[in-house]
Amino acid sequence: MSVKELIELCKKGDQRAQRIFYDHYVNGVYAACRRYLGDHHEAEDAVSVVFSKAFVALGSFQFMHENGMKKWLRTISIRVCLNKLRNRVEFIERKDEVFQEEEAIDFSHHLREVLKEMETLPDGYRVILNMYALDGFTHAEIAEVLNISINTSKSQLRKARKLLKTRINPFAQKNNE
Amino acid sequence: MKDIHDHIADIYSDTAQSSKESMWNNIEYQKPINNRVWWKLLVALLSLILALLSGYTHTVFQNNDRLKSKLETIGRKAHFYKQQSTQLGAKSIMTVHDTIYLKDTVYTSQLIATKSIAEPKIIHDTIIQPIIKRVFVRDTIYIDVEPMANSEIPNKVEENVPPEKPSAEEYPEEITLILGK
Repeated sequence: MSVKELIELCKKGDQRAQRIFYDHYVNGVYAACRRYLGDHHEAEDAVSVVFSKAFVALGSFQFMHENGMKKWLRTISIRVCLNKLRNRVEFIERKDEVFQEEEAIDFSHHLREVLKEMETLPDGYRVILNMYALDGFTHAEIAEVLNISINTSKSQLRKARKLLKTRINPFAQKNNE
Repeated sequence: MKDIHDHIADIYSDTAQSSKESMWNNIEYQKPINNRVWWKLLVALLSLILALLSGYTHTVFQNNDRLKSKLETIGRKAHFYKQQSTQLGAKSIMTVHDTIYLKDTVYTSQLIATKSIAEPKIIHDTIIQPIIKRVFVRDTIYIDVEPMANSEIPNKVEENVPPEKPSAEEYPEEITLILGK
């Protein structure tokens, strides 16, 4: 059965198809939720919500290719996680900072270690780092979604990266001091 | 070809798989979509009809009793008159055109009671408009407020001395403080 056929069955409410669909995509959805929430139990709750919403919204989804479905589920995951985080994340506005383009973190090396450290970042840092670095949001888009200024988004990203770099490489902290 | 998200999914796959069954069991929606949606719509519609038939009058008058007693503590007697609106869901405003003495402040105020706002508040004209937009109740209620005779004023009430009018930004806090939220 192709993914397209599977989705058509899911749209008709076929429970066996929904289970196959769930099994196929659960790892990706869990990973996205875990990245944003930084906690296993919260990610578990979020995954259930994401699939609940996805099964309802599948009716309006037009399947083009496998990556499109993954991206669609990731978008739902991000929305669900941001909703969960909305009440507990605070962003401090800094209007006077000057921003410079920074060297991006190379995620291909020690990805597991980077992800582990990302989970320990403050919620605000983690959210913006995820949105910008992994999910391809621009600062303007982040500012709109989170209802913050572009400068705040840049500031949080810069601090998140600085903190993350320090934690990944303890020697960097000494150099910064 | 795998992208970064696939790699991350692989890293978390063991954890995800270990919780797979419990996460699946927590998914609310596992029934045929059409039936589920229609049931929800039907229940929502019935709830709405029931609320329209029974809920508002009770809520408004419950609030009015509290408003009445609060007004009495500041030496005002309130008379409530209810009038059915001509249109279902019409905006309903209780209006009072009177000078009300609140603690140390004098206001020419309007009273609003709604279901969406927890309880009646005395609100100055300048901030009434944004709140009206949120109002959605069925009955229109008119209130007359008149001064109470000295003998009717409860003993615990302080003497009403008209003081200076506060600045505009002080209205909401002070009013809320006196009448409660």
